Amino acid sequence: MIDDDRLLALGRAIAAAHDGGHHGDPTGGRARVRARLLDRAGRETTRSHTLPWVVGLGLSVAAALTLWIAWPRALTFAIGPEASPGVAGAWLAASDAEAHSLRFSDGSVIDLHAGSRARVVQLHEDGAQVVLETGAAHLAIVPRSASRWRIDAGPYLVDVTGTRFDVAWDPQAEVFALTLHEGSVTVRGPGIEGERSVGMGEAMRVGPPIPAPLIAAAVTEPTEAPEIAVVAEPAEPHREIRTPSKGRVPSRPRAPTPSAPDWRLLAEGASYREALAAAEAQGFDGLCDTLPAKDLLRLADVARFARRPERAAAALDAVRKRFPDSDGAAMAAFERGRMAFGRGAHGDAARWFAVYLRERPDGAIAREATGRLMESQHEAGRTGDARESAGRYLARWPDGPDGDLARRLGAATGPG
Amino acid sequence: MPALANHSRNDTLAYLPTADDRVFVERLRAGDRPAIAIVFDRHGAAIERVLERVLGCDTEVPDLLHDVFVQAMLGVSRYRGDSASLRPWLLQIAVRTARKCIRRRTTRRMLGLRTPGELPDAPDAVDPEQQTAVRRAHAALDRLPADERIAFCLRFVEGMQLGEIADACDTSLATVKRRLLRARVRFEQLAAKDSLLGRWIEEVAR
Repeated sequence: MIDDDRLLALGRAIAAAHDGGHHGDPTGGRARVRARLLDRAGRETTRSHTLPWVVGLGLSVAAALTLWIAWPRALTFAIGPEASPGVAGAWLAASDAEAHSLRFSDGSVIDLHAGSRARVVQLHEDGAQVVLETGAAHLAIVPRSASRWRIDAGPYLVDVTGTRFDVAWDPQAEVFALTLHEGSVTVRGPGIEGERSVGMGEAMRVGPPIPAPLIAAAVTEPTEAPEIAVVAEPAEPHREIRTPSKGRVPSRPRAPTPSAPDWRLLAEGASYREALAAAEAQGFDGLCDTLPAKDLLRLADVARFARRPERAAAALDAVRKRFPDSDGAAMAAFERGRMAFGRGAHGDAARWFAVYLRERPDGAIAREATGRLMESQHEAGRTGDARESAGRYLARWPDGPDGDLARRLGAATGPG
Repeated sequence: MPALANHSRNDTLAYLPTADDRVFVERLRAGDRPAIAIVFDRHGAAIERVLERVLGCDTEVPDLLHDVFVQAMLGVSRYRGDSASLRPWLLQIAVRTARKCIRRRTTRRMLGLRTPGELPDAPDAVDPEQQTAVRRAHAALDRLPADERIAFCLRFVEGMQLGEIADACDTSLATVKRRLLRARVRFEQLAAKDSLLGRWIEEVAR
């Protein structure tokens, strides 16, 4: 195998050849690019200044003045209880402790949840474009005939007319969630073909697959593709509930949870910090002692997305302690392995993936666990173990997604 | 003090050469030529170097460099960064531009069409054997999938750290590690079949 030092030396030699390939004029090409750019900018600026001026000559001053007076003004907005004026383009960060409101001149309100960050990037007469960089927000947009509101939550674009909804984006977990209370919106973004309409009473989540036991009792093969789920919102006395129409992705009915604690509802809307806070208010240890396995796995997800790994580990350990030998316990071991790998504790990660495989050697995610075990062992410097795992991987899944890695680790001929 | 912060720009800083890049964002949106010139002067060389590291010493690089900055000017309204430097954002655009270029060339090659921008004649100053070896190295890199080639070149030719590569490729650290592993496996297999390239790798490591 070519080691890092040799590859870096090779790279330096290639770079030296690149640097020697400028014929003694390293900046000449760049200077021409610079001139082209400035020329282009000059032409566009001239055009953008000249065209309105030429058009303006065709209008009388009186008509122009009348139009100007009658012309609708772009919205403005005020921030927080002090109603300090907001500036388009400035970033807005709610404190970790409390939510804050943005009040727009058309009556629309955006409540940023605690710890969230957003930016109002554009204001126009019919609405605004708001970027939710991280966290969650509740929006109440006043319906008007020509409303044009757009919310960018990470890579997801939500087009809004008049509506009331919650939206959340967790850039770490790459989870987008939206719960619509009134009206309708359309959503575009990765994992969504074209655009998807979300109607009143529906919730949508796009992100990594929820661990299989949470989806159904029958565990299915995991997939790298993001999961999209559109589900009916939980019943509330004053709210009309509409189930997803035909043609949308298959709905996942919520299990009847008459005594469901609030943390689950918050988690459904991807308000993970709030969900964890609710769980802690209810008594986190008590929940660990009483919740069924699938809810504990969900609680661990919530804690992980809220960036509280110690809580996530506690919930996973509770699954293993209270439900030994179950599918949930094996899944908890796998999740512990993923968490350990994520923080670079490759030895721990390898131990947890090995636990999963010992408990569920033919489990639905045995292939991924074996691949991750092999990678963890390799990263931990346990070359012999990694080679052995690679042999097992190739013997069972020669065309698996980690097959190349397995062959690279010296198991090209398989075990034996 | 309100918990919700509202950070506005200080216009008086707009043209100070020492001001950080954030003060230019609004100016770029307006197509302001002095702002474009300052941003290009600050980052043009680095972006050009990254394009060369990924694509090789290539006659198309100036056009791609131009494309990167045009895309930046057109897309600056969507810029969401808070960094004092626009370079990470420009690097992401450069990586996307290089990826498109690699994929376009791959398609042309599959159709049997020439890709005239690739691998121009090296200058006389470069040793002919080294020149050949560099060509062979690029020929091997040409056979890597675009994302793996980009990760490989940014790591080993440009010498970037894994975290920087993840930012530039707008992906996770784990994904970068996987791409690098796969790229190394493929590159090693290709180098093993090319005695000249293999010998050169041994020589440069000495």
